[in-house]
Amino acid sequence: MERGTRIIWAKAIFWSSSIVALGFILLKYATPDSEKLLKEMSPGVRRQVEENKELRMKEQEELMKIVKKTAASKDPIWKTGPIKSPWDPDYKRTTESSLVSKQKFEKMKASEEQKAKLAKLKNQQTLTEDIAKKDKATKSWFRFW
Amino acid sequence: MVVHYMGWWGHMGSPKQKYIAQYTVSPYAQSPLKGSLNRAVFSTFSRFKSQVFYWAVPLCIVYGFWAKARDYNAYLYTKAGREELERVNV
Amino acid sequence: MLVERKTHPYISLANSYLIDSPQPTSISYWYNVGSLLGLCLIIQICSGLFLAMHYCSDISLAFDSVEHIMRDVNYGWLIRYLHANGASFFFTCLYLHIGKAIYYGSYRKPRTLVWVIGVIIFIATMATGFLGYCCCYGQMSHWGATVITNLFSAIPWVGNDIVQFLWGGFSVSNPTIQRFFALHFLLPFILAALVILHLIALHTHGSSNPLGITGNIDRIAFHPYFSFKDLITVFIFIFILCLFVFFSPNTLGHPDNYIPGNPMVTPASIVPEWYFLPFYAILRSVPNKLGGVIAMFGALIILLLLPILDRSLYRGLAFKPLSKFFFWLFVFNFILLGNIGHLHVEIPFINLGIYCTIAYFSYFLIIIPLISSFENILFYLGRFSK
Repeated sequence: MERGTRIIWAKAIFWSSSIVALGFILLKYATPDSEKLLKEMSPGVRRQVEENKELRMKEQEELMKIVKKTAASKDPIWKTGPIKSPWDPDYKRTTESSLVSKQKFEKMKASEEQKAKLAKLKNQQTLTEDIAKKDKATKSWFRFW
Repeated sequence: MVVHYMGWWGHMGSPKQKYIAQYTVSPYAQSPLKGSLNRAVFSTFSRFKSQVFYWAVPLCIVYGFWAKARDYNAYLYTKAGREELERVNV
Repeated sequence: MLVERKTHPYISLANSYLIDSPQPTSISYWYNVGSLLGLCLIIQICSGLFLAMHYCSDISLAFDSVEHIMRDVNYGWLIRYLHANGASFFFTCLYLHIGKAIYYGSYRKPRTLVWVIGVIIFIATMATGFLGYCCCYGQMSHWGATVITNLFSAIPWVGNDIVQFLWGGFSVSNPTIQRFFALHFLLPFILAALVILHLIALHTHGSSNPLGITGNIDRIAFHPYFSFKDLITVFIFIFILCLFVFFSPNTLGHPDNYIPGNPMVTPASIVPEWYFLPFYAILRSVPNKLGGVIAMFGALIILLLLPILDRSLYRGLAFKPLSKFFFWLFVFNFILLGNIGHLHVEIPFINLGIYCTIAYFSYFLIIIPLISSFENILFYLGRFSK
């Protein structure tokens, strides 16, 4: 290689690596962290974030299950289990087609809450019954006062 | 050799004059869009004509294959093609 | 005395690329696509940077930060739509640019290095584009993440370790999207660096030209001739981009983020992310896990072999009727592959996909060497018969 060409390439490599370095710096300093972004959001969107937090975790769990299964299988890589490819002609974007249906998830959550409440109530009932029983047991039929 | 600058008697003359520069305003500058409409139609057409064979024939070939496959697929998923589908689909 | 633009260390750089740079007079409009690609990259990096300022790749935030960009950020919708539609335009230009290089033989000696860097840029751009979907958290991103994971799991021996790493050992606070986002953010900068190398490699010999002969006979300055010629296509590009961004922003993309808002009126899109479809079809036509991956990457890598496979004595196809015919056959076959990519895996289409894949590879491995050798013989015969 000629000297001139060598210099050009040395310069090129210097500048391209500094461009990549700039990318790293921008990624580190120009992107907000989650707290800052939350602060920046309007209250409505922020509420959505709070509401959807558990749903997202649940989705991620489901996704992980699917990914584990598909990655371990011998199927071609485009077979993604229950997740439909967006190129599939039947692919539809509705609330029902997402990984975890929001409605179902909320229903499930609500029913769980209800169940918990019922269980609590039942618990209380049995507790009171128990106390009553205990009272009955300790108290004999004969009373002085 | 003697160069006859003035020419001999009865033959008035001089060497050929050289290095004359003539300046005119370019016809493009005088009329920048000269002939462009004409060329937009006829030049474009002749260019198109000289190239069309090279891509139209491959297009027809590939489209032919595609159309056949598409129609066959449509046929397989009708009532008539049901049996054939069962036979072909393994 | 030299003028300032030739002596100043930085301005002289711009001068040598954009002002005094001598270009062949015969280069056609197809040679404008390169400058459009530069514009695309700048648009994508700038809009992407502004998007990243209001985005967080945390699982709980990724989806709603897109909502935040659309609702709260000033002109956030514009930036996002520019970025989303810009990707489609980027790939359109990329395919045109590659097509032009194949047609005019730009990959040939002495510009082999330009071609090699270009192919690397192509592959890196595809990776960047694909990672982009995984960032905006929706059905699409789940699909993308799954495919990428499967892709890595197909690698023999180390595949499973990479998958484990990618998913942070499948822990609860998994960093996958964050990794995808970081890569999606960093790759364009690598791309920009590669583009600089691409340009330097190009400028050692200058652009080729449609005639396939040396361009050194007739050259004119880049400015004003080609700067203004480039501007024409730049304006057309911006015009069409604006049409999409302002009037039909979701035609080329996937409006995943409308799902919770109103599931009934999700705007229809033509074929979302159409630019991967040909390679997706090639992937699907091989029924083996690793085999499919090899076929798909082979379809990209094979471009690198083009300078060797082309045996012709002359550059470019402009004067080669047979080559031209097969080139267009290849182009339409590629488009058909793209069409097959978004169809059901049903009977005739499976076989059609296999045939198209075979045609794709045989264009490079059989047709190009054969036809170019045959045309060489014709050239010789033509010379001797005179």
